[in-house]
Amino acid sequence: MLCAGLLAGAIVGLAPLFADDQEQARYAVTTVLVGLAAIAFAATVVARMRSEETARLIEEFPLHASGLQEEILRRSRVYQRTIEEAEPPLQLAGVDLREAVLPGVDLSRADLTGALLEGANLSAAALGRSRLLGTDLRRADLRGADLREADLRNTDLRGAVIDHARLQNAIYDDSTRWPQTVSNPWKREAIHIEDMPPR
Amino acid sequence: MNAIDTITKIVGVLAAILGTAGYVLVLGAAILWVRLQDVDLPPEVPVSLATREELIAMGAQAVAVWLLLLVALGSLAAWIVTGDPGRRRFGYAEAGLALSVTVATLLALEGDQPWTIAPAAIAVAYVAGGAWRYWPSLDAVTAVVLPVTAGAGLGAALALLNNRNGFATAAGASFIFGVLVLLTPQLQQWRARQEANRHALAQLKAEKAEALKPLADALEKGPGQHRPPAIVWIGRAAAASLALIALGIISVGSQLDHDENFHKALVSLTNGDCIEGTYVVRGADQIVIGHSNVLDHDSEDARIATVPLAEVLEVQVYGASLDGVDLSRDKLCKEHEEEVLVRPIPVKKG
Repeated sequence: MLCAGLLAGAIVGLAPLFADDQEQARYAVTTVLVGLAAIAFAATVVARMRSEETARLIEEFPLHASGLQEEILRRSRVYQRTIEEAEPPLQLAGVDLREAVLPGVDLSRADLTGALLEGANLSAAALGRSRLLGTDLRRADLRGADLREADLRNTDLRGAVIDHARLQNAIYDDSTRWPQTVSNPWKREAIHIEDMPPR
Repeated sequence: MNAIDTITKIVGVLAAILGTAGYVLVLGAAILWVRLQDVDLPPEVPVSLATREELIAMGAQAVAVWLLLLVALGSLAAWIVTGDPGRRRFGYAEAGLALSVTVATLLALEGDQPWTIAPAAIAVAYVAGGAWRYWPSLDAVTAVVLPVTAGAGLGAALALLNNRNGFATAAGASFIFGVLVLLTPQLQQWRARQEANRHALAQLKAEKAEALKPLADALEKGPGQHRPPAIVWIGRAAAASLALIALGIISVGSQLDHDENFHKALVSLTNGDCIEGTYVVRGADQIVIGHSNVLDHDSEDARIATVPLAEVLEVQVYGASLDGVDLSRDKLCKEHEEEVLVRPIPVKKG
């Protein structure tokens, strides 16, 4: 982004030097660059529309006839626990609990997908088998929390305090952001998604 | 509703009305000040003499068009925010698209090279094609297309309306549009969080689990529960003040785009004379007319004159808003014999 901005600035600054009417040239170059930015945004928007359509098609496509069977089966291993489990006892997806003080709260098996828990006090909380996909747990206090078998894919744990937290069999992936104190999650017995054993 | 509630609400409404009137009055005074400085007339005396009504009218006229724009664009933002974020998606990519199309349209039509609109047009065509091909839902497509259309329309309208000296107006409108489209994704997320909190709270209340009472309390209080209410209210007041200041700056700034904002005035006096000049403002006891430098920018005669209302029989304010006229005295209204409608009754001798 910074490089693109610098490049755009350089073009706006330098291109008019080669034109007769520098003011008009600068105006034209700026307009074209803003238009190119519009094209970049348009590409992002259309790509999202396409990915949504792909997701819809995968959902509708019969498994046995699908060329994507392998991929879907791989994903099903990822989801196997949550699919086979009954409905989570607590649906807390997307809730905003920033700075909440909830020490020792029982949120085991709760669905906290995409929830905001930044700065929350969850010390000694029970979060075993909970779904924490994409959950914002930055600066959260998770000292002594039970995170066994929790789904930590795409979870943001930067700045969180997870001393003495139990992480055995918690699932994480490349997009999981760990606090600086945790350099090797596997040493805490968490499992990378790619290392999950096939069923 | 008890009596105290009713009184509180009435007082609140009155305070809001008084506050709005005061805000518009201050804007009117600022606009008059800017206009007077623009034509080298001293602003202090007219601004201090002007009646409240005149200043409010001046401020309201300047701010009305911006409020209309704000309401129109705010309605669009409200439509997006109140939808399901999953279906009526409006993220920063959509906001950036709408804003860049607006700015590109404005710049291309304001400049001398209209072909530079081509990249923005390609972007719009690409999105339209993508929507046609993948068609996620009517809501999703409308949430993308409507802000882009509104932005392009706004850019084109600004370019057509202000083909000269229109920088402040164009910048103001683009700023309002930009702030709204960039705030909309955040507001949509905030609303989705509120919905999620409400849903979770209802679930907890239905389960009546005593162990989860702290969680229910946290959901009920919402984020930032430890922040003192006074801080919350100070924050809200600061945000509202900032919005009002921004709207005021835009309203006053847009007045700089106008070449001139003064009409001609013809004042007939009780002594039978007439005074012609540039109408400035009316005070409680005086009328202020001036000699601006509209006609001659190097003129050193720029000045204002106040005429006591007790000496005035009639005031005619006329002509286009960019006319203005030099200050001159017309003895016995000889030059304006036809135009003067009210004349003093001749005093009979003997």
